[in-house]
Amino acid sequence: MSIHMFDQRPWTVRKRRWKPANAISGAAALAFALLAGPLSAQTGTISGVLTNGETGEPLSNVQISLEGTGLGTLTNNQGRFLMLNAPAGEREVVAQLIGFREERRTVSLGSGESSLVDISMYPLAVELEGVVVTGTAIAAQKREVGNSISLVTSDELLYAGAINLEDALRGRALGVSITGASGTAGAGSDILLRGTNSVNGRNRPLIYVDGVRMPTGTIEDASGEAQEHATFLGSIREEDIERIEIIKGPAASSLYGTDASAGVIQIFTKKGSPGAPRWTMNMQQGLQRVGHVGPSLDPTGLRVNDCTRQFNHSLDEGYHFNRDEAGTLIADPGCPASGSWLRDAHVQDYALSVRGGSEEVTYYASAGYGITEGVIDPNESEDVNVRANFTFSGFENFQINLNNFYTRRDIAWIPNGDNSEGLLYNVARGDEGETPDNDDSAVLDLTQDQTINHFNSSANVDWTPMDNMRHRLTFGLDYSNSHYITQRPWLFWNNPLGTRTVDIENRRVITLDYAGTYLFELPGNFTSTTSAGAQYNQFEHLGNRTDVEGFIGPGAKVLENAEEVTNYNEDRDATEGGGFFIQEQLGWRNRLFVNVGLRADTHSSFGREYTKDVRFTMYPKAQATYTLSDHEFWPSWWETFRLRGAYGESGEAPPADASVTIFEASSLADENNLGFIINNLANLRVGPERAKEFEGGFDASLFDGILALNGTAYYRKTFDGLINVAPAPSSGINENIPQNVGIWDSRGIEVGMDFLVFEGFSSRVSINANYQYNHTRMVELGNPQFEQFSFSYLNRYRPDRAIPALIGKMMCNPDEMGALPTYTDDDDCVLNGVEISNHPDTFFYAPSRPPHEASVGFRATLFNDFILDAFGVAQVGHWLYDDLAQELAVDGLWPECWPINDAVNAGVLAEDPSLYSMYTAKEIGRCWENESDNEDWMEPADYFRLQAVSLSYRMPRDWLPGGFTGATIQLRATNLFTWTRFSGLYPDALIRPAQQTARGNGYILPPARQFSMNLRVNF
Amino acid sequence: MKTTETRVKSILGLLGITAGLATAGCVDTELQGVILEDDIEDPNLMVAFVRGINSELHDAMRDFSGVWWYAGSATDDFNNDGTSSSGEEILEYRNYVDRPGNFPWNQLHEAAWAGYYGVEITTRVFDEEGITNHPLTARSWIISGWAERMMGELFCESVFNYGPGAGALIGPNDQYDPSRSVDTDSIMRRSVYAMQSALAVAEAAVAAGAATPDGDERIFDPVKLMFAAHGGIAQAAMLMGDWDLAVSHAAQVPDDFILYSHSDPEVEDNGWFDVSFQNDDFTLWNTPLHRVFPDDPRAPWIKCGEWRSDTLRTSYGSSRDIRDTGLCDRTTGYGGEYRAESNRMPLYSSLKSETEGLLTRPDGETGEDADFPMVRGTEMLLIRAEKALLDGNLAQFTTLVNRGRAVYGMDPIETPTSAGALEYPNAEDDAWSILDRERYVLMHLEGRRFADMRRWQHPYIAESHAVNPRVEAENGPARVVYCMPIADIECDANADFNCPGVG
Repeated sequence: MSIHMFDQRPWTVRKRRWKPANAISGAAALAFALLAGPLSAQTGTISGVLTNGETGEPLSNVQISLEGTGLGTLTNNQGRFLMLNAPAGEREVVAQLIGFREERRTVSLGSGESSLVDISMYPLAVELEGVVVTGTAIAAQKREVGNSISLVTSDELLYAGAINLEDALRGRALGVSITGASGTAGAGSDILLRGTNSVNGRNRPLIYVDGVRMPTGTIEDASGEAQEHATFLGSIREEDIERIEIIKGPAASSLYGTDASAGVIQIFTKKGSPGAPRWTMNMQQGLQRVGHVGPSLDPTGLRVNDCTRQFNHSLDEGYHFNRDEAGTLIADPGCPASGSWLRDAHVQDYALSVRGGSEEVTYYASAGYGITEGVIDPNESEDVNVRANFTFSGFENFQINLNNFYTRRDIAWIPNGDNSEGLLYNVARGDEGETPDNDDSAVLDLTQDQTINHFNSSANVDWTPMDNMRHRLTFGLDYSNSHYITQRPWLFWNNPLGTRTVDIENRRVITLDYAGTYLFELPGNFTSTTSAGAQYNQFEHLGNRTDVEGFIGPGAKVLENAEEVTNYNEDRDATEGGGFFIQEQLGWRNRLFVNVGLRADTHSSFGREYTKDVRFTMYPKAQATYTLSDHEFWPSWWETFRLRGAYGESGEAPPADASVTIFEASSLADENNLGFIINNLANLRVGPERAKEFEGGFDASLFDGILALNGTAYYRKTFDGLINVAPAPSSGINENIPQNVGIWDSRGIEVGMDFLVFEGFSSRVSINANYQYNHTRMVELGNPQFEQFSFSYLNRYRPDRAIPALIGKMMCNPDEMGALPTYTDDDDCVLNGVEISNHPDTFFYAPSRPPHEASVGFRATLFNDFILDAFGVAQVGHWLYDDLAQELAVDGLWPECWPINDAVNAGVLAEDPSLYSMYTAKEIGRCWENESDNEDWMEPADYFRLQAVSLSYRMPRDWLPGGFTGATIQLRATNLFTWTRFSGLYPDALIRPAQQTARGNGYILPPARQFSMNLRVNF
Repeated sequence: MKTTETRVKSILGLLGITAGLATAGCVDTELQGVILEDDIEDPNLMVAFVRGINSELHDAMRDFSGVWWYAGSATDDFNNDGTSSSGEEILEYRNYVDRPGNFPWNQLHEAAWAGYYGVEITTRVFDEEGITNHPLTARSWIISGWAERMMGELFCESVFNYGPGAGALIGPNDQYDPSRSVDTDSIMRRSVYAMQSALAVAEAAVAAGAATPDGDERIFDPVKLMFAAHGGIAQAAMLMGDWDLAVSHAAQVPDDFILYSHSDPEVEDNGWFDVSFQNDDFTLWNTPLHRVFPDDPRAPWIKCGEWRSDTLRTSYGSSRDIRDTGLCDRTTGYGGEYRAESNRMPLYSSLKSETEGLLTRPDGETGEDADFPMVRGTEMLLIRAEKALLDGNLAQFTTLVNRGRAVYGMDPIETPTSAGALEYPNAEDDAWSILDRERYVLMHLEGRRFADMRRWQHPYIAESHAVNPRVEAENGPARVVYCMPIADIECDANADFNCPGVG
């Protein structure tokens, strides 16, 4: 009985389909073999360079063979190969690399001659032999995995033209929703996988970097004045990423157990390869610019674009610009000398990396430095990144990987958002703003400086004691530290005493992860793979915030200069979680794989009674996948077709304090005697929020890779959902406590397509498109009291409604001409002939997250050297509340409302409705100061954005000086164009509270257009 | 075969490693800077713990929307002239169909639960065998007993579910059922049970010579706790109609005994004091206190404003009909007001929470610190007097009433010539009228009037009177309501319970 070898599996070469070309080449080889015998002593040398056709990067470890001769070799880390003693004559060179389409080149080799063959290889649209790690025990070929995995590769990131890593993922990975875009330098976006996962939980995927967990989500905006956040993901430099694997829900994430129900994103950074040092240098110079702000009716862009003119409006003069007695335009007080609050902001970035090593030790090291100015002075983000990855392979059966990065980010924020001290808030409101004498420059005296240090280190030990047994142990540490200092200087307009807030947040995440796998071949072409593993994670958080007030005199201050400490806060908390899994996979003929597994988990946030009863919470999984196209009967034009299905469960841990009763010591409890008052009551039975998910899908490749399709449908049900419930008072508890009572479900589809439109003449044109639909619906809130409750902002939950949903009273008479509006909460509302009595069913509901998302990409590689890449994204079907427009309408400052306001005011004053009979109740409702209400400004927020366009030119090698192996110049533009009907500043510029499910649009700066030139050099 | 063995060993090895790494229960949450239950369970900290438990009861009493306010709004304790939420709810409730009382329903349940929680923790800390004679345990039982007694006084029925996940099952477990309500008698039985438990612990503490925890005799003196438990049994038993039980325990309480709900987590926010003394939502104008008992030292009050003519006027008027007496402090709170909020009646403020001294507040703090009297020896005398009246013994009735008045240095009353009957307004000197007056004045603004009116089928409610003539004029006669229905919040939040309709 033979033993299935580990090393064989990733290298299993895809079965060659019979093709006429193969037949011809086979016959030619046979003929050559028969005729060439006498000439066998005549040989030559074949050499060349293998490059990735998408990126121009050299490819190492490509198998090069000379058809029909048995000769073969591998490319080195420079992509070079050399084949000595190749038989002279007409020969076919075959290049094979997993994940890439096989390439063949015919060479005529004269005896004693050398022949140069440079080959560009292109990634396969559907390839099943590649190895994936995420969601598997240690690693598995894609053909073995029953769930969908989205992959983003380094070459996609290269052309993404993204402002940050979240932006780079937008639209490029199926199942991934990126929301929140901003023109503020340093700000990140929110990531959701397959829509809304949790109501009260983190609602964010786990993020691993080289096997080590890092915090997810946003880093505190200590004072709340910026209303923007940096994200932990922002610490990772795109150039360092080899690939990103994304599994999107419980069907795939069972082995991660608790905390993984929102999916897992795993980032693999680049590793070294044996050979001489190979350097890559990146330089970027560019600028970013925000276009017209607000409605096009207003030429000043709400005074943001052009503050040299103060517009105003009155009944007598209508819309006009203020002029002095000489008739000269009066500038908005505080208007910068440039005449605009916006600037063309400079973007620069520099990176240098090197990879190389020996057979025993390889390395990848990089350093990067970048400064991104925001479009409003002094917003700026300055980043420094250093990475060093080492692989030690010189041990028998052992391989050790050490991966480390350190990032420092210095961000100068500006006060913004729906905030009375915010810049846009005050500028857009003109003299209705809060600043003294309408001098909005005073806002920028408030400074917010954040320094983020982020260190991540991991050690992976791979041990293969036997050919069929493999162990992997990962230990890692992620440490981050944020210093956020907010200062209102002495004599600040809104607090003349001056204030200072110093918020220091430290987080430490420890990961310990072991997995082992045992392979076994069974009779009847069956294989068995048994795996087991255990994980442990510890999160530690230390927050230390001090607020002081009262400085005397100008100059830089520190805490001790203040007269009074107004607030101080120290948070120290730590949680731990761990578990183990066992998994069995049966395979048949490398086509059919059935996989079952069970994960057992415990977590320190689980309640004592839950842990006592359940001990470990169990997450089962079951998967099956079948590659039908491996059968002989399968049509040859349809080279790949795989069906897959998966079921799995995973969870989300409750908040750290959910299971503990906390007392507050109060000297006021009883006549100045010490008393302990219950401050937080434990739910001793609280357990994880659990979700189960089914998914089914396919991967297909047709017409020799011209068309590749994949599709997945899923259904996810979250049960034991954590909702902060006010229990029935009869239970004696008079405060909200998290309880596992909610149920919600999600369903969706993901479809991807790659289409090779043209290939020939050293050129190639391809189109790819993705579409995804995600709908999450509240099923049960676990308590009738919560059939309708406000979660945050205008997002509320009701059974059978989307979550999160925008909710509001409806207008009863929107189309009635010349009528003041009535609403479903008015006594006299009649809707469709039925009297309405303010029942929740008569309210308006719409999803506030986009159910439909699509992206389309175009890439043309012309004559091997020019690459044109364009990429657009769309989000459709969601509604947002345009609070900026509504608030300005209430103040009579929204341009489209001026004529309506005039007419209605005059009509009401004269008690003559005919004066506004030309307007509908809906128009009046939106615009008339006395009526304008939140609901009137709920609008569809559909948009399409041309996200990135780039043109790259790969310089011919001949042009390059000695030692240089490649150079690429890239011109790229980001956020060139957005189409939307949404009336607010931008349909995806969102106020982002800590809780991700709520969405609102406010005074958030729209994303900037970025134009840049990149130079990338390999040497 | 060897391969199979190797495989089995390998798998067992893997499992051994994984199990070793993932030992259940080794994970822990660490929250520094907070006080956890485990930290609290220290004998030295139990005094502070029970003080905290105590504050839950005081919360239920003293809040602007506390028991005193709800029970008083529904009766003739005071005249609610404002638009503050709970007062408005009460007016609506008495005139329309609604379910008021969320706040006291919440708070009384929480106070009762907190008391049981205190019993659980103190018992665990002080005696591993579960038998304790510690005064802190007695005080915890008393908190539960008082809370449940007040719940029964205010609400027509109640629901209890102090089950797993919400504290240990302590007390009459058979009534922990979230799906059904229990009537007043059942609520009172729970109160009696808690008080009997308190009594047993307190008596054991006295017998053992237990020291007063922290030396705080106000709330932890074992002897006082013993008297409070006797008084608590008497209060609840009387409301159950178990007069023998009530009288036997009432007789154990000294005449001058008083115990308060001492505690105030927010000393600057005492709604009882703030509203009854300072707020123009509230006026004593047109109450029996104004019309019948103007000078009773047990319930002192002050005229901030008065009618320009006819000080006993009972019809409301307009702002110009009212003049400022100049007696009320204009510098603090609402002290400068002299008209109730509608401006249609004068502001008469209570001085009960403000006045110091033996008569009204022996050992009790005043003002923002005002403590809430929960049980008195003089109330016990009135319980016994009522039993004498029911027995037709007018001489003993008079003796007991006068013993109570003597505690406050008041003149004795004459023996009434007849038992008589209750009426409204109550100005007659028959025995029932005297009893009505004595209980009214003694426990004025303490949230007790509603229960008396219910058990007596008092003509004030039975004949649809309202203290506020403006409300009556605007809304019509008040509905006959002797108790409050189960609060909205319970109907909404208790999925197991089907709330009956109101109306």
